[in-house]
Amino acid sequence: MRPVFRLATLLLALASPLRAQDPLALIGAAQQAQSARSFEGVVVFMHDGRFDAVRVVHRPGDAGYQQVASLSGLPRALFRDARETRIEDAGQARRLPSIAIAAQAFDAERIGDSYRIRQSSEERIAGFQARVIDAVARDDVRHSQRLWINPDNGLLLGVALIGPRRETLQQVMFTSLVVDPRASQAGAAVAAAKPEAALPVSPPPGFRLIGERIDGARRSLILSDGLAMITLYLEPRADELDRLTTLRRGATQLASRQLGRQRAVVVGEVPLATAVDLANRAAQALND
Amino acid sequence: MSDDTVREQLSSLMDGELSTDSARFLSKRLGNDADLSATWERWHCARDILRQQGSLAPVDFCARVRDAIEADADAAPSTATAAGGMRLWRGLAGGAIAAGVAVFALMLGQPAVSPDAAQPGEAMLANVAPVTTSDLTPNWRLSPVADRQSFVLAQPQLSSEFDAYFVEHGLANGTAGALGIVSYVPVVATPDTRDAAPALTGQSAR
Repeated sequence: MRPVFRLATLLLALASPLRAQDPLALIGAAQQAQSARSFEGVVVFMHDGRFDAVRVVHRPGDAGYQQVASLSGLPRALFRDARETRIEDAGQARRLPSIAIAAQAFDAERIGDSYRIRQSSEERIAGFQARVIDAVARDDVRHSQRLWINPDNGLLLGVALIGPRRETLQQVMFTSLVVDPRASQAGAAVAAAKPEAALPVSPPPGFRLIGERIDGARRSLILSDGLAMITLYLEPRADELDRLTTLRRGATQLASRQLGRQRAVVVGEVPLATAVDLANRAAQALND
Repeated sequence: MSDDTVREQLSSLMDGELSTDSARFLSKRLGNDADLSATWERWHCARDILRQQGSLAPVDFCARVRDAIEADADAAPSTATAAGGMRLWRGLAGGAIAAGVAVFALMLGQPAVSPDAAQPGEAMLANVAPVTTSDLTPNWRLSPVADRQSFVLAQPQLSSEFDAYFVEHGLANGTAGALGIVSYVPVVATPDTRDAAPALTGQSAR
């Protein structure tokens, strides 16, 4: 393809990303729509052999906020704005400073290294047309994902994590959705700064450090392969143990490895083996 | 007696509905009438096949047996009386068939029929696959969620300890993740820690 045609194609894609036929551009448009579209609705979250209904309110912009509240099971609500994140359980509330991460997990340039992206079909979700995009994992380090994205407004209408035997590990799907047709301009800009922090251990294949947070003696390192995310916590402990603990909620795996007085905790939507391997290596590195 | 009448009597004999005297008469005729005997054999083979009784012998199995008997008789070493011997063997074979038919007719002609034999349930229907619940399940778009749980090596006391890690990861995922606000959903839909899947813990002394 000649450079002129390539440039024209790129400009066309940038001018109308939501209508782009390229599944990769559609995933990018879905992430951009999160910071530009105001919407609210109800999603069904299927996990661990059960499903929960959750109400979602999203207001983008500088004065924007997000509200997420469970409609079934135990009452729990999350309210997040630029300053803080408040989680309200029955009878108690926790306040956490809102995490600001410069880099975004989605990386169109790297996602193809870890996933085969393909568009499979069109479906109708919550009254909206949705293009079904499959991100098929190229190895067993990560899960495959299926995304339902509206091509008109770019909103993500559903996502499912698929296991190695093509089983659905968890699934989030809108059942009702109201979208403000006006797009906000305030939140469209995304900082592209990359963290300079050094990882004490090599990340799983395809993952890269995109953010770091230091809270006292604990470091939180956020890794991404362009689509999935892992958080690696490194922290000293008062007790001395040699212990491996694993826990799973839906498709989110937690592996905690304590060696002596150092503990590494890995949380992410990745296979158990990936989480355990990273936790073991990180804990060992902390003791070296 | 017309052929149709004889065939009707033969059918009645197979069904055990022929009188004893008529059965004796018909059995005598079966011993002398090769065509009628062949018809009797074919009907029996057909009935056995329909009832799937025993091994499924070929339709001409009875005829093959008879031919084999005759072949053995032909191969007998008494060459001096070959023709007479063959007639003798044929007579014996015919007599044996007639005797067998007569015994069978008498057995069927008995008024007392065992309850099992009177059951019409031997007729076999074609096997029909049972209807399962999956046949009645609508083809929903939403896929089922795997419900495999972690197994337990030791009783956990750690669910509440690690709850904050799940929450913080969910918040980071919602902030920087490719899926945006959808990533917050697991944070609020987290099950009660008392009901959560127990942690898998392995511990050893340093």
